[in-house]
Amino acid sequence: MAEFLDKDAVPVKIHIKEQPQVFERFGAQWTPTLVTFDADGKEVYRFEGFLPADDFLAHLYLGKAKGAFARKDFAEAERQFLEIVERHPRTATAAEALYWSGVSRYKATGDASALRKTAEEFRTRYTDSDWAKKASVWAS
Amino acid sequence: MATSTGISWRKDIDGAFEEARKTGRMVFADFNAAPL
Repeated sequence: MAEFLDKDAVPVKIHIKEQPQVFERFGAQWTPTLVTFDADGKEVYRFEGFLPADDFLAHLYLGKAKGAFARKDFAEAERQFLEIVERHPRTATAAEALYWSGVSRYKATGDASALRKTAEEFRTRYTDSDWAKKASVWAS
Repeated sequence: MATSTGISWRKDIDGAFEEARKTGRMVFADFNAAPL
């Protein structure tokens, strides 16, 4: 966890009793709420609730990958999304990452076959996930 | 800064945004109720 937080992000912890106005400012309505912002302060990802370490890390890196996607660095976003699938394959987040890896590849190349290939992957992985249902419209 | 699990957490979000803008890094904000 520390690698991302030390190298690629500025970590900030806001306590509800110390800074309730900051909770209000960012619409944090439950704890924990984890929000990833890009370098310009634009929110790119948020999730709420406690998670075990592996699931937490998958969300943490999903936020990082969403940041790459938001700045239109689609090749890097694809690499990061696929890394989540590889490193945290048993998390629910892996299915979301697989979906967005396909979108990123399509955005990077303009080649719709990237979406079809992702849909095909969902036929054997994460088949019960909402992301598999969403990808099903890409199947030829 | 607050420190837990080896990570140096800032406590001022606007300072974090300023540091992120200057360094090109992202901001990861943990809105929490657990003791700092």
